[in-house]
Amino acid sequence: MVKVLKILVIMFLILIVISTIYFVIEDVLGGSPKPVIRGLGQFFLNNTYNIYYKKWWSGSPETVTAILWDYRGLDTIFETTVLYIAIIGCMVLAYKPLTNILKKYDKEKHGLTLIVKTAVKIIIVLIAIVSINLALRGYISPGGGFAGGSAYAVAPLIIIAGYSIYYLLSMGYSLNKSAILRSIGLVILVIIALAPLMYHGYILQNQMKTHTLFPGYPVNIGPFYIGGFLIFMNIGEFLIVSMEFIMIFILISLYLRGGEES
Amino acid sequence: MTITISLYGVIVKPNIIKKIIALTILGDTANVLIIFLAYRLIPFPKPPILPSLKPSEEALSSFMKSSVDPLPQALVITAIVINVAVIAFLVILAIQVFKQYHTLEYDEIIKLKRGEQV
Repeated sequence: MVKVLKILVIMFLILIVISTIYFVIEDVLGGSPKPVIRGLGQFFLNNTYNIYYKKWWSGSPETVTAILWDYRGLDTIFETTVLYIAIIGCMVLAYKPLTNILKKYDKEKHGLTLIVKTAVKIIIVLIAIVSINLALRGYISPGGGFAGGSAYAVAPLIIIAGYSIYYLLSMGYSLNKSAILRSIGLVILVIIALAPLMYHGYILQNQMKTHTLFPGYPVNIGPFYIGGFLIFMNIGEFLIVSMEFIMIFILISLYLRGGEES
Repeated sequence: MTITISLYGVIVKPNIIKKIIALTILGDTANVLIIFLAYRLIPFPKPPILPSLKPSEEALSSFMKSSVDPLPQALVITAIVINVAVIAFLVILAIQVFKQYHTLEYDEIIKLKRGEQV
């Protein structure tokens, strides 16, 4: 039985190798990367920031962010839902009430050497600045809520590695605070998504369209360019992604600690 | 090629942590493949971002002709985050399995479930 299974697996892998090689050869001989891109991508490039023909425009020169929140906004909302459900699953499996956990923190016993700790102190400030910059400028430069949130969550991760989980908790990060900030991000997303309905628009409408009455979110506030609702969506998504990642890291490290002590 | 290696790891390797590592390699390979499909075969292709807030018509048309396809990039940026969340969930499940059986080898777990000695 095991032998038959192994032979089947090997045949399957050989099939995959052959198909991969075929795919690559077909690509090289006039396959996928062509001088002309697909029609859908051409549509997005043409209409994202076309200030001369505003029927389908989204008010953002960053095409990827415009697709993410404007043209395919519902897709992104459901991706956020998948993330939310995954975190709920982690919480259900690994949650433990935190009582007196900070008393276990021993400055000498936990953490790595002084060199590592000093380097961590410098690096976390840089990470925080870069990630907030990524999130807030996501509508005119590469980045956005997802990228900024993922970058911000690296800072608590290296604190856990360099110091310990107890130091992170004594700094003020905690599961409840993260959950509250995550909920604030979700509320921002929901309000921004549902607000056009009150003015006879459709859900997640960003700019003015000819078939609805909603005038669209403002592209400029005074001298500042904000790109419709993209900046609010990026802030909300930044809060959601960063706080959910921090929750995952705190949960996993506390869970591993519990295993050591018992 | 990397897809083959990662599938081999997911199917054949007996250790659960190694299976999870192979799964991350599989996800990253798929993302790289999707980005590769978006490439444009011209000299010096540009990222899909307009450099100015008040572009002229020539700038818009040259942007259309020289920029890469933005749609696969928008799909991949969400796929990465979802990948991380699913991997975290699997890691917590693996920790649970280790607490229950004190091993991560798949064959030994099956034997322990049947009540045999390892």
